[in-house]
Amino acid sequence: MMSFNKSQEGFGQVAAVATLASNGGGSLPWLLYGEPLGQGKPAMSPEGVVPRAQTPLDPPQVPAMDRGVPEILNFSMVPGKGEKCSEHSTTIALQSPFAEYNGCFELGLGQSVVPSNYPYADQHYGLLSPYGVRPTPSGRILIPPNMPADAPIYVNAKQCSAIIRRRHARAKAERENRLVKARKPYLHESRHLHAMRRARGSGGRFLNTKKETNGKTTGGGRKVMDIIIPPLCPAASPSSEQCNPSSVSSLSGSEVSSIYEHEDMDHFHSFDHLRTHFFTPLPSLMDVEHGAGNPFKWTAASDGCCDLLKA
Amino acid sequence: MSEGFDGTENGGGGGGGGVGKEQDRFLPIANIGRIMRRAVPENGKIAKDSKESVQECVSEFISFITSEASDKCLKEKRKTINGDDLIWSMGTLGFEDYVEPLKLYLRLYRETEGDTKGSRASELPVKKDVVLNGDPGSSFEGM
Repeated sequence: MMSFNKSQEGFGQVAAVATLASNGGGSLPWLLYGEPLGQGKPAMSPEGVVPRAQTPLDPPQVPAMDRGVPEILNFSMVPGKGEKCSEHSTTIALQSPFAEYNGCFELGLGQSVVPSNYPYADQHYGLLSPYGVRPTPSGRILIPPNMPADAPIYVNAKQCSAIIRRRHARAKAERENRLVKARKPYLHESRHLHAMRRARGSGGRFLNTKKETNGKTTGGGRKVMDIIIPPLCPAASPSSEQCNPSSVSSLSGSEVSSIYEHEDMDHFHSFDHLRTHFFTPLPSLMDVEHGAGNPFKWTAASDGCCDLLKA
Repeated sequence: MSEGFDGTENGGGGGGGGVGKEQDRFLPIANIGRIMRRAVPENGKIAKDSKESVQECVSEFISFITSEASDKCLKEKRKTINGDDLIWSMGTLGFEDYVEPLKLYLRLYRETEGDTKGSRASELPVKKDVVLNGDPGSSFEGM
């Protein structure tokens, strides 16, 4: 009960001091409080373990006036880290959570963690735990370094405790020799021997593998070619006898009807040669009879008419 | 679903061989490569070291989410981690964007699979699905 109450009071005091900071604090008080902070470190270490245990419970923040000096020491750490957080967050884009996490991940795996560093890390965690719970505007928090010489790393405040827990778990696994740093090229000897005996082609790929079929693509291309043939017939009206046999060989229903339309166009030209006023009603009839294909034929017919007028 | 089954089968094969502890903390690398292939063009290739890097990243991500869920179950005196615990831990760790799609996925999964299977057997596919949703490309395809 005592430890729980203490942690509650600590959070409340931090919130109250934050309110004072938002009202307006000068830089001089920070410098003044810096010296007591150094002296206060031994006093903070006994309390370091308790906030860590209580942090996951998220106790309600109750303002209380108790132990003003240590809590002011906590406050003196906030502004500087706040500024660093803001500077750091501006340089990172939307992917910052994963990038930060990857950084921690690399540090965790690449370097062996010495057991003697744990009390040091625990002390840092104890000092920083009150801020992990407090909602910071930038959403970043300084995480204790894996090695004393590491640069400070800022991570998502929500993930701080989980990252530290994972560090301890990885260190524990490494102590129990459950980590395999050197990867084996294969898992099973027999499968490896079988693969070595298989025939390989150029580039080292195995032979006798099912290849993808491109028949559909070729068929599609041919279909595209068939569509291009019909426009050539009307333009080559003098050589219509030569065009008809080639078109008949690859004709479908719609293309057979296109030949009939071609014959109709011949009649249309003959009528146009006799009288000019018949030009207007026939296109409307063609529109009614062949709705879908008519715009294309109408364009061809207009081309023919232009040629007749020129001649 | 088939990939989850393949993962289980590969794990069983590895256990039978008793060769290395690599499989104890990593997902099968063949499944990792198969998932990565969805995000690259068909004529593209994936290097082996990049598969290994992604394998380590997704395995650590699984442990990251699962340790939070395990911590919650430990405090609540429960011994079984279910899908809801994993979704809750994702929300707690700042992955709120995954919560709604995963709730939908879990609901549809439970409707199709039903409650005939044991709770322990139904947990493993959920963890595999977490891996699926770890990859943004596969996440959209999975939904």
